[in-house]
Amino acid sequence: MKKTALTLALAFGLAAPALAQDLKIGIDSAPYPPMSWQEADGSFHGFEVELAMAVCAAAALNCTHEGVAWNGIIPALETNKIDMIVSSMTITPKRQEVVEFSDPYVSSNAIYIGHKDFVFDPNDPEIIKNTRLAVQTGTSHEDYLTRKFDGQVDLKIYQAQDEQLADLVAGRIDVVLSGRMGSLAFLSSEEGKDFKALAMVEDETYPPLKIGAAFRKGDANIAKFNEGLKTVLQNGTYDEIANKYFDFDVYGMPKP
Amino acid sequence: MTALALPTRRRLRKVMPVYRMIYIAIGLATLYLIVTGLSWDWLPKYLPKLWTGFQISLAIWAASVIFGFLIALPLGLAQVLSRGPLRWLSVAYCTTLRGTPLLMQLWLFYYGLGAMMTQIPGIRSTVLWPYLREAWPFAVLALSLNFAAYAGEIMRGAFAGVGRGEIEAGKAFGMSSTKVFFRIWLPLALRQALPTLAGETVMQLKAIPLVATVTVPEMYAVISQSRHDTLLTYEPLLLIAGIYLSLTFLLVQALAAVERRFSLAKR
Repeated sequence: MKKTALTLALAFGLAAPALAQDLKIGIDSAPYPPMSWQEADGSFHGFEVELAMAVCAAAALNCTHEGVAWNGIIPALETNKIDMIVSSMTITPKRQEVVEFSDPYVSSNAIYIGHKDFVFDPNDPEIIKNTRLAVQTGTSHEDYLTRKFDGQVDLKIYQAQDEQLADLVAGRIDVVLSGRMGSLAFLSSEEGKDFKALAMVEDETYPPLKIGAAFRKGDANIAKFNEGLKTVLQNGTYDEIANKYFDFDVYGMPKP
Repeated sequence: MTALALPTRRRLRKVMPVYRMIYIAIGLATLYLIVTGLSWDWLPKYLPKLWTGFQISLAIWAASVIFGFLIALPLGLAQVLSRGPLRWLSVAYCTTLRGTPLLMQLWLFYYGLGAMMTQIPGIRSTVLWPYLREAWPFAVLALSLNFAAYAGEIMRGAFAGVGRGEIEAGKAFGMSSTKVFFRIWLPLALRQALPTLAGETVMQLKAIPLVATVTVPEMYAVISQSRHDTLLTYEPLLLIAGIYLSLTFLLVQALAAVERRFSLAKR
């Protein structure tokens, strides 16, 4: 394959460095708006799709998108069917055993969601006392709240995310602590139109989840991608794209 | 062996036969293994919550049994007295509520009816709102209505089972219909229904953990939270099994005492 490309390059009389490298970006074939989704005509749209294209352009990489089933996306990377994964993949130690991540391009904080007119401050004991705070059981959010309030606050415990969001809409609870990325679908839905992120968890004991692009281990393109990401962050392209999809700082980290 | 010791030993054997001693020994050994062999260091942290949960569980159980029973009386009576729409209504009620899962009813009341009520304009500024926001009123409502269906069926049989002669005797004494009902019909029916009703209240007690699914912080909710926090499987579940077993045991003993007090055999 490489040989063919080289032969072709030579045949057309092009010097190798001038040839932009072709990279296939694997993306979850299931829609995950606003991060990514595929239209009926086969084209990909969404924040991650645009961002990846911008980064590739800045890094002089020639990228195309390809839909891959989520549960087979890492094997697809390992077998060279795709060259990187830009599909809201959270950087976890377990994944780092098999793939290598770029610098994070999105961080997902835990956010307190509530009615847009509700006055809320997680650090004001008076407000907390008069707030009905809900969280899903068995999540790290629950651990965090229990830790933060030392069990002094009555939390409403839910079995599932959709149940607590239904009760939030019904007004039975005031505020829900939830992952930001997992809440985007609700916040952009008709039901959630009167709700917004009232506050964000800013606590060094509960760092946000970070999302990065996944590559095969030792891939030289990681450094190029990181450079490209740095460029789009610095020249404002990142914000330009992000502002189309989000009304908050989706990067959530100090910019390089 | 003296002649005197023999009857004592016989009596002892009657109270404490060998098989019962073996049972107790196995039970104590199991308990010992559970207490010493498993980890319980997580427990003190959850004890205050567990105690609150325990009280909530008992309160919901008691409220649903009382309200349920009060609804059951007219339900049973309607099926015995009426031949028209009242009877159909009450038969339909009992059939529907007994024929569908309690968990489903609970969810229909909380996530269905309860959530719908919150959308009524202006309801959030009424005095009822603090209660309508809560989960426990819906839990009590669903459990009461469900208990009423079972108890109503029992009371129907009990009312029908009271001899006509006793009621007619009351009437012959010049008692009004109300007086006959409260002095003769109801007490006799209750006495007959008591063992079955007692069984129902025990069943009701064991239905209480279901309300944890609609966010009521009762005992099982605390247990399941502790399981999520500690990643333990057996200890919290064994603990709640033990609590329910003890509660059921106490309840059965208490109800048996009531039954003995009003037993037909003593008549």
